[in-house]
Amino acid sequence: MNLTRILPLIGIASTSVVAQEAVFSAEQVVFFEKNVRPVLAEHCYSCHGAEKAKSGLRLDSRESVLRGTDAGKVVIVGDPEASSLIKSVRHAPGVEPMPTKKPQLASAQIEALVQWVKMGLPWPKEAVVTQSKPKWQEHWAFKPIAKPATPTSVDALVTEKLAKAGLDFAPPANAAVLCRRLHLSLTGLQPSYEEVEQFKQAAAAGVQSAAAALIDKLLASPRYGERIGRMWLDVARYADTWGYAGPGADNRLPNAHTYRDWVVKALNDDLPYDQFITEQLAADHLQAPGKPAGSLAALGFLTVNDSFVGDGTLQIDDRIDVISRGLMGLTVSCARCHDHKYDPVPTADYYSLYSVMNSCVVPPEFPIIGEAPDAAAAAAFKQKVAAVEVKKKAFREEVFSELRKPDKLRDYLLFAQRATAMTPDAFKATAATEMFRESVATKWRDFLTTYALVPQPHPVMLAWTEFAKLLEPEFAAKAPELAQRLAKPESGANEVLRNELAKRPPMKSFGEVAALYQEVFLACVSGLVPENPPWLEMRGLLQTPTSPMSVPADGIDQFFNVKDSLRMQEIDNEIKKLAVEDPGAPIRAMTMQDRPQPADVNIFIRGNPARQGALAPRGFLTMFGGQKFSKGSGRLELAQSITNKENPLTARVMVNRVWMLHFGKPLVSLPSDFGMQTPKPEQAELLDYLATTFMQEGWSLKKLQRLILNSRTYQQSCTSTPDKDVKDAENALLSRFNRLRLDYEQMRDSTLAVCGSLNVANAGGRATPLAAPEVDTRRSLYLFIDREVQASVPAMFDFANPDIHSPQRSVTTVPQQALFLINSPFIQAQSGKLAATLQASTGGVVDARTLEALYHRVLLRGPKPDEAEMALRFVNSAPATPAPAPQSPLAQLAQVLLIGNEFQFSD
Amino acid sequence: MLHPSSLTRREMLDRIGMGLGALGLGDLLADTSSISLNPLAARQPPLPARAKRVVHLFMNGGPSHLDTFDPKPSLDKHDGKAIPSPLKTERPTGAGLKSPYAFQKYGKSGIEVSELFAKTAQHADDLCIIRSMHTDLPNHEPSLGLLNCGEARLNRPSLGSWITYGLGSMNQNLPGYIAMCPGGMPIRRTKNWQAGFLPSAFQGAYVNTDHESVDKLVEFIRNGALDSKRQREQLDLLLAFNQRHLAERQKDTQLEARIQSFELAYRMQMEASDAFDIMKEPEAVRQMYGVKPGPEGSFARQCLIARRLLERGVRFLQLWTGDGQPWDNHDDVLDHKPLAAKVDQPIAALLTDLKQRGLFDETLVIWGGEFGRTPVVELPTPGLNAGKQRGRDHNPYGFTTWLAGGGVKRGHIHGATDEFGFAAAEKPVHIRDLHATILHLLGFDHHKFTYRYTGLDYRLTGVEEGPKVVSELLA
Repeated sequence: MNLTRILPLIGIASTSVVAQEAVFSAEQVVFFEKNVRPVLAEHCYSCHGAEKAKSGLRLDSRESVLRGTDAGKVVIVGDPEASSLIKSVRHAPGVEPMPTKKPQLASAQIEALVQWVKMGLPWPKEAVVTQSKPKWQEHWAFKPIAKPATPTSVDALVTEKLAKAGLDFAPPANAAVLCRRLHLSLTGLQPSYEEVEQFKQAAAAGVQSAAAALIDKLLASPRYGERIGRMWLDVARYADTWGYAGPGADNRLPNAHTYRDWVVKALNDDLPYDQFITEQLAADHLQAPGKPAGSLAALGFLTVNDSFVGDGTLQIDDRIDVISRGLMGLTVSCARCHDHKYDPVPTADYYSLYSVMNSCVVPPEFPIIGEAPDAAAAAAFKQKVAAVEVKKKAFREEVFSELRKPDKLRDYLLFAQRATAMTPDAFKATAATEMFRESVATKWRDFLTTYALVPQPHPVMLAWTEFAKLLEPEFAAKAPELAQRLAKPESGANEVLRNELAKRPPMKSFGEVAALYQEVFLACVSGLVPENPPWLEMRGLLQTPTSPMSVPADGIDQFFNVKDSLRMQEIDNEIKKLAVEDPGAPIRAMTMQDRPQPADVNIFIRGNPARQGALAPRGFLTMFGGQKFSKGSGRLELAQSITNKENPLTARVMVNRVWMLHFGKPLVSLPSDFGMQTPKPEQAELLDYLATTFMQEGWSLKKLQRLILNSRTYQQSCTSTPDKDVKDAENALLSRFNRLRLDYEQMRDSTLAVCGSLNVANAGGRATPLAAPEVDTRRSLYLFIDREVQASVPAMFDFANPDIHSPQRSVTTVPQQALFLINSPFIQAQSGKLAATLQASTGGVVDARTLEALYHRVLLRGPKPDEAEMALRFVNSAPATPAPAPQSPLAQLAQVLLIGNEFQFSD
Repeated sequence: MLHPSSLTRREMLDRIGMGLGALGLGDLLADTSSISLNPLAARQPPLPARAKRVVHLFMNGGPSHLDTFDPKPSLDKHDGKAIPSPLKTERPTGAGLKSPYAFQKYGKSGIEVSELFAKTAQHADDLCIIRSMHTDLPNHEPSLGLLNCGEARLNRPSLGSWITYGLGSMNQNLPGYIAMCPGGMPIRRTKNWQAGFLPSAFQGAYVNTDHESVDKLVEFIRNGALDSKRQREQLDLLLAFNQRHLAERQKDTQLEARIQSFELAYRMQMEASDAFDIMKEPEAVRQMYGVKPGPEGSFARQCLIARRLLERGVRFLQLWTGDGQPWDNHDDVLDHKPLAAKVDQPIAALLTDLKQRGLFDETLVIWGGEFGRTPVVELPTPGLNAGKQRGRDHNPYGFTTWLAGGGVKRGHIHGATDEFGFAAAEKPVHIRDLHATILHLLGFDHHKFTYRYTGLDYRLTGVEEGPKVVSELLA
């Protein structure tokens, strides 16, 4: 896709409507205005107008009359007899009579409509334009990204706007503030006192070069990928569980962490963003056969979704949403039931993407991309799994053999015979009451109706058919004669049965016939009978796929009843538990793969899978040319279309997200909706400059951030002026830095770091359950995220809802946050730990030195005299408590500093 | 639609924590000054409201309407006999099953209620019983989704979240929306009270009422280390440092809001401790509710807590019967008896108590489950209920929900199921109609009460035009 190829297509799309316009005489238009429009307005618009468009039909513009309903045209221009609209108002058979809620139109009115259709639907020209909506091509975000005409910079573009408003940048942030800001921005952790002091010294020699060096250092830190990676996980609606996965099912995702770790590593390695996207959509397409697994884990982007109670349609919808909003800032999911209300996304586009996703499957078992580091544990794991598999096999065989149990088989056959005469409800009910597996009974019933109870039964089933015709009271009387007849070669019955009938004593009931069949069937499948034609004939019948006897032990699940399924679930949970918890479990990538054959869908009219519209072949959005995909599912082509440099959205959306991460506020107000409803941002030129440069520089996120963070715009202070408060109240002109409250992860991780609890070396790997003893040594990124039981504390601090793609964190201030900070065992433990460390060297005494050390640790500065005085007074006023004190006075003070605004905000 | 002036307002709302898209609330929030620094600040609804607060008594699992509030004499005659019905049931079902419970008429209205709810029935003249409820699917998870969040499978904000988003709460020292469930969580867990795409400040706070001490009931409500005097000293020092920090900077509402939140939290400790402490109630009141220690008394305790919270201005309460799905009695309808024994007296006491305190008229009480149960017996499914044949299967086609209090008719029966109670036959009320009606009672037009998300204006009652306020329920 390139621009020169898109533009002509856009041209065609926009002129196609024009082509349908026709020129009408003044008389024709008057006829319409006088005789037709009033009828439409009075009788039709209430259901088919601007307010409501039942069945997708609107009758308030010529264009929409021509378009018809979701199902097709209602008017054939010039041919009223063939137009369903005319048939409807005439109440002709086979069409829905219209209007529905009112009496039939007067015959003169109907005649006017007929004439109107004959004339070719005259409509005044000015009314053709239904709305004065701006053409979507003119929408800022859909226009090509504008390359700056002359070389420029972040600061030059910001200065230009500031100057126009008569404003200037705020003074630069002081070195300590800048140092802390950069650390929090890029690593999510605050610096140490020593790091701040070093930076201050370096800044004294030149703040710009010091900042540049610090930015480089932080971008190279492994902590960088953890910080920006978490931002990406918001986009990717990352969680460690699958949501509700059926009664009793363990819904943990044992390998979600492989995706999370891939994201962190890719960002640390500065994988170019176009490749970053491509691997997440189509890593499997990039694998060379026989080569190592590479980036397969990236596909977790598609597969860490919610289960939506197992609804595959909604899972695909969610994937379309995370791709379109997450990568392109387009709300394509809005077009699931109707054409997009505002954006140029017709329903057909949604289903083109649906076809892509529908042409993929999540494999039943994810591929192994790494073995457990501990070989002994890995071997033990295999044994443990094998032991559970043995259980599983044994259980399947138990069910399998039940179907071959003498008497049981006979009973099934007898029940199946009765069932052939039952209503579906009665069949269900009787099967339940008499304790038959419904699925098995169904299969036997269908077997009988296919091979026995037909005019020309299968030779094996001929005797069954004939005996079944005997009524029970006369059975004993008539059976011997019938048996004799069937035993003769000319009867056409299978020889095994003929022989049995010949040698057996006369049968007295149909039950004995069933017993006979049971006996020969079981003998036949036992493998102990001769391989002669009669037996082979019978085996052939029993092995047809419709026969219940053809189901092998490992396919027996289809016969499970609820109890069996629950038992199987328990066994599966044992395996899941091992996969999630056992140290020897191999590491797997949560992949997706193409189906052997693509599976394009038809449009679901109004989102209803039961109402099929036109075929929607795999392809990209029509607004970008509507390229059709042909390589397998088309995921790789999809990735290429998204990362094409001519795509006006992808780069803009990402630079906006990165900007938001560092400034707390995006340039484009709705980071995942760049559609028609989102106004052009104040800093549109800056956005385009960043997007252009981002792509020019090889989609390098690190280079992009160097560009942003080295700017004066980023490095200014939060200081405002009365003038700015008026002229730039929302700081859209970037006349100062936004003071930022630490988000949940920055707050928790920095607290742990300051208090000496954080073990940054323990990075990656399995998510740590919230109740695990080591939980407070790990960064928040690595804690278990449960969709079904969402942890209360992260949610309290505006953590991203993992159910759906999350464009932006809210920033709420609620007293529950404060309760957590003043009372939680977490904060008490951490402040206690910090205080204990500080006091260890002073033998428990709290003096000016201790205080200074505390201030250095938490606030990265020494205490001011008045603070020191207040702090010491507070410490010394603590009531004596019997040892061990629940929280030492110094810990109480440390808590105050940790939860205070100075620590909790970044200037 | 966005226009420049509202953009600015949205930015402002963002800053004080209303999150993106609060714009959907539109003119509701015209008086921006009423939104203080707290997302839960009380707000006026756009239309006259008949109720200010809601308590939803959630009989999770699906209680049988046929054994509680919808008597079916025809079923007595068809006990053990086939009932002609084309309706599909979730599991195999057989012949008609009469109710083992006696019904009797109560009050001037003469409303018939079974012995299971004999105490609640003393309030018959104040109940507005909808006997013609219906829902979409016969399974618990999607039905809970629809009833709680207006959506069977997608993750959408719950009713309580919508309401606290629209109205805030009347007490800033307590959570505005609380879901209480003894023993654990119902199925679908926290998704039942999720905020969905609304800011998480509007999600329900979960309380396990098997706990009896306040500090276990409310997370982080008590400081395990400091007594209140010392904690006050600590918070005074925090306040001093925060003010010092603020003074070094320019006016900043974020900083101020956060300073304020510690004061709110401090008060919340006492207020919540007080609100959740039912031992502060006179013995006679506790007896009225049937309060006793242990799991047997959990529902009674949570009803009494509910009254204490409602009178303190909490906006939305959901009281679940228990973890899992207690009313899901597939095997034996007699299992309803011990359940009703746990909930009947406390519910009756709550109604009495609300009336005595003058709260009843402005409190909307909702009683019901996610669906009802079949008039036909559920047949044994091997291993699940073998041996017993006295239970009923799920029934989404017809069931009973009752309302009481703020703005609804009293001593009134709305609609009816068919002869046997299988399906809503007269004046059917869909879950979305119920939602529209609840929002109406609280002062919202359900069409206009929207939230802009992913480029669409979402509403609780969904995209279709169908849902309607059931005006016949309104007093």
